[in-house]
Amino acid sequence: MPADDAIVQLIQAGRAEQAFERLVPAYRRRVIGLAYSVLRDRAAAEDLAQEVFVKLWRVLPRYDGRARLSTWIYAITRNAAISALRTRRRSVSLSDPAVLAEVENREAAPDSGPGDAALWRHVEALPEKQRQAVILYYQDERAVDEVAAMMGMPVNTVKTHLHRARASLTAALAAAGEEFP
Amino acid sequence: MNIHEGRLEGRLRGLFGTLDARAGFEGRVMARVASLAAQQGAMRADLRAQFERRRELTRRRLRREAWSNGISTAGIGVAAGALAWHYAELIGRWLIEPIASGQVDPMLAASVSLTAVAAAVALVLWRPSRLLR
Repeated sequence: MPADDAIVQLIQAGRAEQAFERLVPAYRRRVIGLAYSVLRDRAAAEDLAQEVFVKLWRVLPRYDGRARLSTWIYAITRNAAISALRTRRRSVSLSDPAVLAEVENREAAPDSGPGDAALWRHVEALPEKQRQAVILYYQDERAVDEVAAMMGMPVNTVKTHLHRARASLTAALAAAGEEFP
Repeated sequence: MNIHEGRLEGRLRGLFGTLDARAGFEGRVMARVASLAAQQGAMRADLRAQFERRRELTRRRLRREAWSNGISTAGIGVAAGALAWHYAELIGRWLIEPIASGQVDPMLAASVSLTAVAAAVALVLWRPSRLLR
């Protein structure tokens, strides 16, 4: 990726601040998408993305180029998201489930028209990895290999997740008579 | 891809294609990073000031010790001179005369004297407290 090459060159030249200024716009959507695919809460995903970028700012001068820049950033984001999810689950277990369910329903769906609320519910009902693959794939019409890098799993596994997710969604929409709203 | 799948793809793109941060996200990240950088800069300056202060204190202490060592050595030298002056006759009788008459080897006498002086100087300059730092 040309943007990555330029960023890596800047880091290796000791210009981490300039590298960071280029990295934020280049990776904003991907970090948000990955955080959202794990947390399924837009506000939480944005907060987490901010934390991830602050962490990247701290560790960027120590990036040694052994892993690809994108792989390194995705790993940091995934770990942060999983850790945030665990924290959220712990706090959820201590709170009123009814209130939390309402709050989660209100915040969870991305900006969408009323017709897509049903589709969102079906996506929500998918198994975790299928749902994550769907969100990452359709967020930016990404290539499957990039989604695989983001999820940290083999390309064929992601293809299988996407195939099963599409089949499940088609069946669910057909069963609910929602396919052509 | 049949028409149903094509339609589904379009709806999924519509649902997730808008997934992004709120406007001004990059500005917020940069502001946060700038604030952290300022904090880190202040911390670094504080540490630097502490280091400089400690270095200055050490420099002053070493200067004081050098003065005190010099004065001690000079005092011992003066005391040794005064003793030699006071007991010149006795020293002449017990030390110079046997050397002059060949009873004692002059090289041996000189070596013993120099060793005694060196031991006295080393004793003055050595500070056990240095081992504690």
